[in-house]
Amino acid sequence: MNPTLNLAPPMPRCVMPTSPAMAVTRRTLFGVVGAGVWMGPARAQDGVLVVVSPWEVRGLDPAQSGYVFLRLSVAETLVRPDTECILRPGLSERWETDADGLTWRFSLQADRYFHDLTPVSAQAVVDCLNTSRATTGNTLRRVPIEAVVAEAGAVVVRLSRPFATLPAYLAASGSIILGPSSYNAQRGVERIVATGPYRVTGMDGRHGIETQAMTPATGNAPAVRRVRYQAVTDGETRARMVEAGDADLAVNLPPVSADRLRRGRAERVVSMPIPRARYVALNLNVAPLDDLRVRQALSLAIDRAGAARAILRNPDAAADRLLPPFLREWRDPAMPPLRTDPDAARRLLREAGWSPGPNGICQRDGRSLSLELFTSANRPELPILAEAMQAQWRDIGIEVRIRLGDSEDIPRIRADGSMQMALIARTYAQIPDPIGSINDDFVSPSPNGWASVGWRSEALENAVQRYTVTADPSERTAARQTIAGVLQAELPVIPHSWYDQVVAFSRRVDPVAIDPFETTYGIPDINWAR
Amino acid sequence: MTLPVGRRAKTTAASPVEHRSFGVMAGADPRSTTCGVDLGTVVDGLPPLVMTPCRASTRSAGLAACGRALARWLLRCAAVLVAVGALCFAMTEALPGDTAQRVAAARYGAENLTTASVEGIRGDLGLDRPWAPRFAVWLGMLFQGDVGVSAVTARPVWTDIGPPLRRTMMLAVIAWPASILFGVVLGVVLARSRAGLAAAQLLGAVAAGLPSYVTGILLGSVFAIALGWLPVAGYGSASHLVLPAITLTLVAGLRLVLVTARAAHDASQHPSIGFARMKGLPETEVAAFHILPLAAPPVIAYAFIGLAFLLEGAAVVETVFAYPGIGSALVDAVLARDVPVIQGATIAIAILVVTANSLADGIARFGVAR
Repeated sequence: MNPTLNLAPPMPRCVMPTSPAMAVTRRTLFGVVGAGVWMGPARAQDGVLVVVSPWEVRGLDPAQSGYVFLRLSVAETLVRPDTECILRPGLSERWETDADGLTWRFSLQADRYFHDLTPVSAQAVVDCLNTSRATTGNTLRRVPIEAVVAEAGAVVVRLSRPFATLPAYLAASGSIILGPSSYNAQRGVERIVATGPYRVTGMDGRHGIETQAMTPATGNAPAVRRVRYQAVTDGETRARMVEAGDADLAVNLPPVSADRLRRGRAERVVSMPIPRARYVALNLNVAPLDDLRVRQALSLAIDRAGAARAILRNPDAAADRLLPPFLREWRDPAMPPLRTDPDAARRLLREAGWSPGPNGICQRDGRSLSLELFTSANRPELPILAEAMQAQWRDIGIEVRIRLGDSEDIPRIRADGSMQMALIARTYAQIPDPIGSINDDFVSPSPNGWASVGWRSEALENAVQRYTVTADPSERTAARQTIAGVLQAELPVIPHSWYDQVVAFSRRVDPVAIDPFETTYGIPDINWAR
Repeated sequence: MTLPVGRRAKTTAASPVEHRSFGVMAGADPRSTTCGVDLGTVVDGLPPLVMTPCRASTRSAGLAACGRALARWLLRCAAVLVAVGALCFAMTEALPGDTAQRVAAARYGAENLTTASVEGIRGDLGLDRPWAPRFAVWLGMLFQGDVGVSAVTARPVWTDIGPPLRRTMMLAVIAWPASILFGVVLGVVLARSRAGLAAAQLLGAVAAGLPSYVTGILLGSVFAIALGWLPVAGYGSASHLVLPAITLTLVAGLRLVLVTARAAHDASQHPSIGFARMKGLPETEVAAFHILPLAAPPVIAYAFIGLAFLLEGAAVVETVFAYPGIGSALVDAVLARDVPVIQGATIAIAILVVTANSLADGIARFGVAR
């Protein structure tokens, strides 16, 4: 069966000119005299869906920018999560594992083609996955894969040990399936030729992508035929672009901008919790943070509800545990939630030997209870939240200095031991299962830069091990509850609040549901407003 | 024969051929002359006016001078190339933090960092070697016209910064002449009265104190959001250039207003201007053909400095308007600690500034009364 393609002429593109000097001259002349004359791609008014997001295309490798092409429905993975976090078939039709859990077989959907009309074969998928897992930074490198081979038209993954979360890793953006023509001789990605309902028709450096819908062999064609993606790093600018009608879909809007947009009439704002939490990471090698009572006191002093209401503009964002409630499988109703109780916090400090000094700051053995909190302005709300916590901790007798830096500094200050506390934001959607980040942060022998320092729990490690090995639902549920319970009881990190994905739609389109794992913007489901 | 520069001796008796005036000698059309006054002659108590004799040189001498200017420009560019590159290298070396970590975060996302990926990048980029051999390698490549590849995208630096540079130049080609036109016209108009001069000073203070992002946001709020006439941000069409260009025009133009007003005011005190007015020339002609030429040197010099302001302001304006030019590329490169791109972008900007300064020097040397 032949694939059906939209053979309409491609939209105007921003093409790198062959002669830079000539291009400068020509464009300059146009720029000077051509006010009102369109030189480049269409704007929102031209029937092109304009999507603005903060993420630039810093390379074509799936490990670098796979998520951009996944979200734009250009690329697909073998497995995909639905909005309930349940893994569904993607490019694969079904998958099965042997009894020992070491061999996984993914059967591909029939009659699928890459954008260049070459058929999707098991060998092409295998070559792509093998290239990806050999690439630095790819999430597939965290999976104990021995080999990926093509057998009888299926993709077979052989593991060195049982790993039940393999499908979740195959649903990650680093595992997008690219066609053979995407690669050069050195297996570097030169262009994106994938299998999604949209194909790339133009790229403009790191900031712009243009796509065009393929016409599907069966079913209805997407209403949105052409898409222009633009990376706009500043959140307020993204909000203003929707406000002014220059963008149809703006994602990751800051709370203040979203609040302002909600008051306007020109656009619709949709928000949904996503698996990302703000928490205070701790250095448990530093006294008195090694004392659970002090960590509990720090947690009890935080007014999460107040901060969620006043700073984050969303009362539901206050975290009573690490993972947000929409991850139902991870929610144990019997687990006591985190609460705010300054009096209880003071009692705990006294129990730990810290009594208030003359200036209100707790002291023990002549030493004041003074700590440093690092945070970054990469996420603008973090310094404000840090100041609020500073006042609340001061109220129970803990003096906290705030140090502002870049989030990229956190791994460094963790490594050199200068971190005491750090207010950071952490995603649990690296793969569509929080276990990926939990494993990286609390279990991995070389933990990355986002967890606390100096904390290990045998109970948690065993539970993570069980979870990643077993496919038995009840065992997995028990393991999840153990993991969540240990994190809540021992507070290696102090949860503060959860993130919302805030998306604004222009009036030209009907809003669609947001994918909490951010694997898609739902462009194929978007309809133009009537 | 070359005239001495500076205050000329009262007894100088130069021939009319060697002297220049703004217009023709006495007896010609009075509407285009300064009454034939020998401006090379100094009158007691009045400021001197000394001319640079650009027409005195022969054609070959002119060519030789042009050749020398070109050689000077090339030398300056080469010196700037090395100096700016070395400075960027030194400054990025001096920055706190781990470059490999920053690059890894920019490549794969801060939350996907692993020790293995950071160490892999450290090895790939040679960051585990001392700075001296790394700088020597970079310098060697530079002399071959190669500034290397981006640490983040692994593409050649010129491929990465070419399109942003082109976009910024397009913006500058619009904003710079517009800022000169705006600054000169408004400056000359304001120079005509004391109130105008005060207003020019006020505008100068506003220009110095008003951040360009505030101007940009205000313009966007009015013309894009409230009126809906123009796009608030983005790029790809001529209309996307308008608001950033106006913002940059204001950034550079407002400063020029004050310089022009002061220079025009000073020039208007010169006796030749009094003569022009005594002849009954219309004020617009006095301003355009008599005051402006006298006020030109500082205005021209500052206009070219304005180009530097403009390139500097572009980094902020490009961010406000999500316009992916060289300024925002440079900011991104600094955040990602992408040293080759920082060096490439800075060198490109520095060469533009050096070229502009050389042009300013050339115009002042060969074409303008000092």
